[in-house]
Amino acid sequence: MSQSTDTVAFAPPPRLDARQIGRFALRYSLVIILALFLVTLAVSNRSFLTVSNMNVILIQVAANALLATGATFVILTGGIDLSVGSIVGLAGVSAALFAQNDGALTCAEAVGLGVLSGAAIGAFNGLLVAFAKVPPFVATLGNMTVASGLAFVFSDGQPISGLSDEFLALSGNIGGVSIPVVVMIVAVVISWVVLARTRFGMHIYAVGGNAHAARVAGVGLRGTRFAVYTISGVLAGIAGVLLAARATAGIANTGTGYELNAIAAAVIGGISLMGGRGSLIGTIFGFLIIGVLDNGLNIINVSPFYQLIVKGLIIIGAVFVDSITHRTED
Amino acid sequence: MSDASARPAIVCRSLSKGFDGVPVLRDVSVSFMPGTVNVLAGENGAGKSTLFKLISGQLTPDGGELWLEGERVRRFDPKLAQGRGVSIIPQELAPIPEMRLWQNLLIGHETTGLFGLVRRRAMIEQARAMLEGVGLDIDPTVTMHTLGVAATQMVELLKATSWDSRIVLMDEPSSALSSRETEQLFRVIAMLRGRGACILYTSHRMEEIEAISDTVAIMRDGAIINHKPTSVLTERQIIADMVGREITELFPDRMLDGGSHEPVLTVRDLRVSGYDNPVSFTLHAGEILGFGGLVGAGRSEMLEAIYGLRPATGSVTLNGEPLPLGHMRNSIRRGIAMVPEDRKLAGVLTSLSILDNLTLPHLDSFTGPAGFIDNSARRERSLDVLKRTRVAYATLGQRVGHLSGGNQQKVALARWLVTERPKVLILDEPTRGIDVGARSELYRLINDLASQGVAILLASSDMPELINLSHRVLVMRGGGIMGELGRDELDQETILRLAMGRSSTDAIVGAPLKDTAHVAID
Amino acid sequence: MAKSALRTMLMGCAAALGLAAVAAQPALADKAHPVIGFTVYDMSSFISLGKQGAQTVADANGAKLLWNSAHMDVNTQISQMQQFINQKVDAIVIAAVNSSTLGPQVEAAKAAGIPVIITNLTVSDAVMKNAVSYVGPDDVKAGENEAIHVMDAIGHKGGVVVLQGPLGQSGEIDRTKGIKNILAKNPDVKLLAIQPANWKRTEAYSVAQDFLSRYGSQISAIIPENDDMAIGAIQALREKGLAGKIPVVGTDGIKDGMRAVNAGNELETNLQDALLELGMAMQVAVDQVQGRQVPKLAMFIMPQITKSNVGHYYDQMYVHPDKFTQDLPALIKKNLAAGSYADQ
Repeated sequence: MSQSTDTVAFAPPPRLDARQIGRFALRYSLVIILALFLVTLAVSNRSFLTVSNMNVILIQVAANALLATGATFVILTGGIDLSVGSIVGLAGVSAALFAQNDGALTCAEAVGLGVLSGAAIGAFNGLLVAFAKVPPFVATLGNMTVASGLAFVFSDGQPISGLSDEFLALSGNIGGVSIPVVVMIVAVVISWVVLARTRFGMHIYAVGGNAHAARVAGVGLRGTRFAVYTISGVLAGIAGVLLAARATAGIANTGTGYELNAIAAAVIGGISLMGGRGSLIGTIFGFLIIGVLDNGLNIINVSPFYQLIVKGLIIIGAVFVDSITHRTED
Repeated sequence: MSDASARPAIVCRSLSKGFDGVPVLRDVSVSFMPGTVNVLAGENGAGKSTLFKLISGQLTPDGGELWLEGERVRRFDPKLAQGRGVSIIPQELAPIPEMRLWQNLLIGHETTGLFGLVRRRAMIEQARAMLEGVGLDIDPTVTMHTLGVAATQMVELLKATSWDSRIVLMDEPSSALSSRETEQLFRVIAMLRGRGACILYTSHRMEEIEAISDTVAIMRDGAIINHKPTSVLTERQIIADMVGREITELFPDRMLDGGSHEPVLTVRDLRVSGYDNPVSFTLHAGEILGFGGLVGAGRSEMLEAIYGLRPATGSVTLNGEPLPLGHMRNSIRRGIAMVPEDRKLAGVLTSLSILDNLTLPHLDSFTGPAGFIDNSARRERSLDVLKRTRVAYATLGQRVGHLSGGNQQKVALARWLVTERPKVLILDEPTRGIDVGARSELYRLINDLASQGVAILLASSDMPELINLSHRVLVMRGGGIMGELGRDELDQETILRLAMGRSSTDAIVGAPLKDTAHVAID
Repeated sequence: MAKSALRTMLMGCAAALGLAAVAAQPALADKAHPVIGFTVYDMSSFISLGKQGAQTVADANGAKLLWNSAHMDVNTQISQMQQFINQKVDAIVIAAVNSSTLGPQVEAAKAAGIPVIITNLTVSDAVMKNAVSYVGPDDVKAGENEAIHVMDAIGHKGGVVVLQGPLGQSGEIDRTKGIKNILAKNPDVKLLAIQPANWKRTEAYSVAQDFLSRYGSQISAIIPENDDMAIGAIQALREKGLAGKIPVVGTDGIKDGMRAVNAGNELETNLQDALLELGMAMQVAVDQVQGRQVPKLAMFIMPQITKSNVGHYYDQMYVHPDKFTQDLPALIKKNLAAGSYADQ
């Protein structure tokens, strides 16, 4: 942004002074926070900055990364998706039911059904928001409960375990890298390309930035909205399947509260809840910061009570800084 | 003008449309030829915007037929209309503030390459070429919200007209523009007409109607009252058709005196952040002091600084006592009132009732010792002030968003008359987008207030308004005052000369000329 | 954000990671001062109190306690396990979020030579087979105790209602099992209704209210599976003027529960002492690391508290808690040696 706005008349010639450094620090506060945190942890505890621990962190953030990516799509259109946490449980249970040792279906079919259950709830969200004009908060709040209920019905409230080795291998490695991490990277990269480089991506920003203007410009509001909720559902479905493999069981209440972590990651990354502003790059920093915090605070043995406070303050701080930088730009 | 044998671009046959049982368009039958500029004149609420929305596919008519370029429209859909070459420039600017200029321009017309990825560089170059084509020197990669109103308007115009547009609908495109930018707009319109486009244009400015239109269609109460070539119509007749009665006098007689000589507001070296030049002037009781200048000259910012809405340095004295800057609540308490430029954003709360809008700044004075609001007193005062300002409304509980633009503006003004009269009233573009009938009533109201001793600061881009209402005009540019014109010296050309930074034979006070690069962009 | 700056930053981070990876060293293992990692399902009031016990015992043994809470999330607990293994702690103690997960992680810990101790809640056999010890309550016995006291009080006939913990938790499963064991031996007692109130006072209060209006005088006794739910049920009874008249039992021995027992509103409770239980889990972990003999199964047969003996336990736990904490390491060693783990 900075380079381009500088071409507008009135902007002073660039020179490096204390104020500029301050503004730079604010603008890249996320990166700086993450870097400082990494350095502090690395210095204070030698088991933090190791390849295996970094791998642990990446595996740990994989699920939230998928959900936060979905949340980014939805929030950029000015919406919100509260149902993803429940979808995680539903997709896990659905996949696990068909991935049991004595199951008639192949592993791929079980995975497909799990993801499909997420897609179905996502599409239902999309129908409600885009076509029935139900406010996103209400539609997805309702489906959060519906999806959770379905998961309990399918599993009868019991963990679905005894899963096939093939299915459990989804939490293993491929070429030395953990499969959930590979899936996360692929999903994030594809999503980034879609958001930043495709017509559909531009339409998402347009719908969130000014729905009326987008409509006048011939952007299909319904199609765009329907699509983002479905995408969010699919990503949550994938997360659910991966988590079921990891936990060696499909458990209905897995994912409870995950939606808030996903939204927090997006918000920390500078995605405006009003829609139309922010980048998936920010979200990536968002979920990495949360992941590093979770891991790092545990490693340096901070009490769980204080961990909650630190995380909350980070969320508020990130959004506060974001609002300051945007104020100075305007 | 095209020859009579050509096929009309737009044919409406008995079109009708209503909302919640209230008819908005009644039996509209009219046709427009390609290669013509047609002004659609009418008061707000006459049905112009609704007709535009039907033609652009945003609404479906209840009855009647619409033919575009010889084809009957059966499905009303913005995308289909766009495919037929219909472009609309809405009255309310509709930029997407967080997106880049090029994205704003090309949304819905993306160029894609391999795997359906958009070709950014190609699109940026395309946007640059489009901007240069109409003489705009703006970098297409800037974020939209960094542009000013005028530049935004030009981008919107470009956005709507660049796509092989054969039918262009413009809903008050000039209302936000200063004279110079309006000229630029006219150049674009002339270019479109030359390409054979059919242009429908709504405007409240009589001089524009004469300057650019080939025909005038006058609407009233949802029907077309009259449609004739501009050459055979007179201004008087157009106005009479619009309001259904003859308005003898748009502007009221000015008080001869221009107020007493008792100074009310003294401004010394007021410097608004972002502008380099200081402003100094004195405002007297009962005086209407006008501020002229191009968009971006810093008028709104200066007025907002006096009101306390925007940080500034310098000194302001009200009735001999210093007024601390940046304390809006204090300013209100001391008797300064403001009707801001963008009434939707800052003037009224469209989702609240008329009653709440009127009394919001004065709730303290309607609150009893127990902390409860005295509703009967509130209603009584509101009814009184609505009567005085002649607001057309149904009930006090009606939402302000449901009123016409003119009446919304009256409410924004009336709210400052609910308790005691303000000492200083700040009006920023008070009649933008308001129809002729409501305008003349507002003018009368402003004049009445001045005659009762209220000191008024008036910023306006509407030259006749500025010239006819003000006792004195200060012309601003780059945040500073370029010159002061007394009532006898007021004419459009002199104001414009000063506003554009050229020398004038009249006395020049204040700051020297600044760079001119920002004018087009603001 | 300006992309170039971002890219520079990212590359910087990547470079730092790479460097650190080269320099990575395993955590120092020192058997005299072992590092014990606890991962618990959540910071419930029971677990929060138990943490003090674990810390006290760790201090007495010169051990270091690493404490992680999974906030009731299976995925988080799995990550915490991986983290402990990665950190090469000397032993891991688990209070599991879910009984059927964690199999691969416990196996991985075993493979890495890190002993795992399960505490508080039981886990499935697939998980347990790789763990060295279970230190926790005999919840079946607790359920049986509750039901036995109720049967005696109502003369082995009438109708009872049961308030369960969250369905699927081992505490709920086992206590329900114990209650049903005793009911099976009392054919004249009818189980009118059984419903979860999730260990919570407020939920138990409303469920009990519903039962009272639906079954009225058919209810001879209420069997909540913990003290908090018992307090909720007693409140519902009190509003009908039935407190102390219809027997209510509980388990845990929380402060309010013991008071209710003393006041005669709660017939019996089974003392589950968090300090003792998690403290003992810590002691077992340290003993295992230092090569001492540890029990495979340290089952807490919870002391039964009735009006006759409530004074002793109340005094010990809530009047002079400092002294109890001070004596805790010695008590744990004594109990471990004697094999009667829950004595206090």
